[in-house]
Amino acid sequence: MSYPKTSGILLSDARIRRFEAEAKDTFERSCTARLILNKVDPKSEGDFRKIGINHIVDRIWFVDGVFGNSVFATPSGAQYGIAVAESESRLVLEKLLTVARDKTKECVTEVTGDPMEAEVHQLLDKLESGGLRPTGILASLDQSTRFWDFKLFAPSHEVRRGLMSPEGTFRGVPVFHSRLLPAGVIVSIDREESGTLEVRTDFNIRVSEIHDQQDRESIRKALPNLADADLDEKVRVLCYEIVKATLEIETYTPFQIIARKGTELQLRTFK
Amino acid sequence: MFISYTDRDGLGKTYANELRHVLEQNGFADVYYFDHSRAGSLGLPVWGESGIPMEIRNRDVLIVMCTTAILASPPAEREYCIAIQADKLVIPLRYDDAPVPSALPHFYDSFDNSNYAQIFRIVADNLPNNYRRHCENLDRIRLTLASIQISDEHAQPSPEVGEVGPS
Repeated sequence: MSYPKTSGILLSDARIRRFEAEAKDTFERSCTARLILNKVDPKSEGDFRKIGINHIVDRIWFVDGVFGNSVFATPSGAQYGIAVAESESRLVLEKLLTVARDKTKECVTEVTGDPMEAEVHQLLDKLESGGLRPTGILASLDQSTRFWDFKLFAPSHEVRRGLMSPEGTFRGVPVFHSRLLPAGVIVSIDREESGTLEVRTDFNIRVSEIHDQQDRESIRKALPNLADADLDEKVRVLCYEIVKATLEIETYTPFQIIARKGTELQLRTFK
Repeated sequence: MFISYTDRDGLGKTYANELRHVLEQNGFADVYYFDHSRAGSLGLPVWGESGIPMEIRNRDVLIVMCTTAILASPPAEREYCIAIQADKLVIPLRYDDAPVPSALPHFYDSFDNSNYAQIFRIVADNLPNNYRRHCENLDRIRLTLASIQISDEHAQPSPEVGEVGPS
């Protein structure tokens, strides 16, 4: 789509601040991985991963003004918060399911059909019998709504602010959902004993002009359809975090899973 | 289109019916709501995967009729939770000064006995645009998710063309 020229207009600080604040707020409401692992300062070296996005987007969304009959609203930063949070969750849940596949006997209970209330009780009991204290239940989409049928489920009537707000509680343990989990799966975990999410750089996002000539050349190399002059009408949205997820599994298994019989313990993927 | 309501206050079903008529007159053929008061007598597997969850997932939009007893209705709450989780467009409609559940979007139209027909027509007229915007938002989220790069901590993510827009 071709937009009016804006290169002579200053970027709006207010728009950028709102965009960045919305991205950060959405990230904090969506970072399900941090229900599984405690966030800590870095204490080790190596194996840190950068989860990032480097987007070249139209500048017009970040300037004030009326263009003909059009006014461009402040853009939403939510998509960046959601994307990084979901990728962080994928990193952590992938580790968890890898352990589950390797130690099926210790941590996976298969049931015929959908897990019933008694089986969810057993899931929590099993974790507690190992000396752990369930801090959260993470269910696949289909299973999270089934909790409503359970006698001991208390729906949350409070403001739900994204994935970090529980659907309710079961036996006092908050119940969350993740679209990444395969259907028919419920995970119970003790976050205090499960390991750590070392955070070298927490979620951050920055909108900036693209002035540096070397930078422009490298962008054009990666995106040959953009002419040099096109970059005057673009800004960069750079968004990333640097983290390392470690699941504590040497001495015990800090989680238990119920899975419908035949369920492949693989994360769901989306187009 | 799925309409979620409660009839504990004797209001929800009436307005759900009225809304259904207006939506159908505006060309929305597939309008559905479930009468929970009859669920037991029909012996239906209401909440099984082939019941209400599937009816909601098969539709694009869920409208919540927020009448005075809406907060006291677990079925309505469960319905809109399923819709929110499934990324459906969820639209609250507030009757008079009835409460609007906090999980729902904070922007909504209000109606009362005197103007419901007019308000429902406005809602129906605006639906295609609202749904288009909702889909554009979802598309931007999908595109951004597809742009995620996981790398060594010192690497710079490669540039990609992105799209932003209003929520």
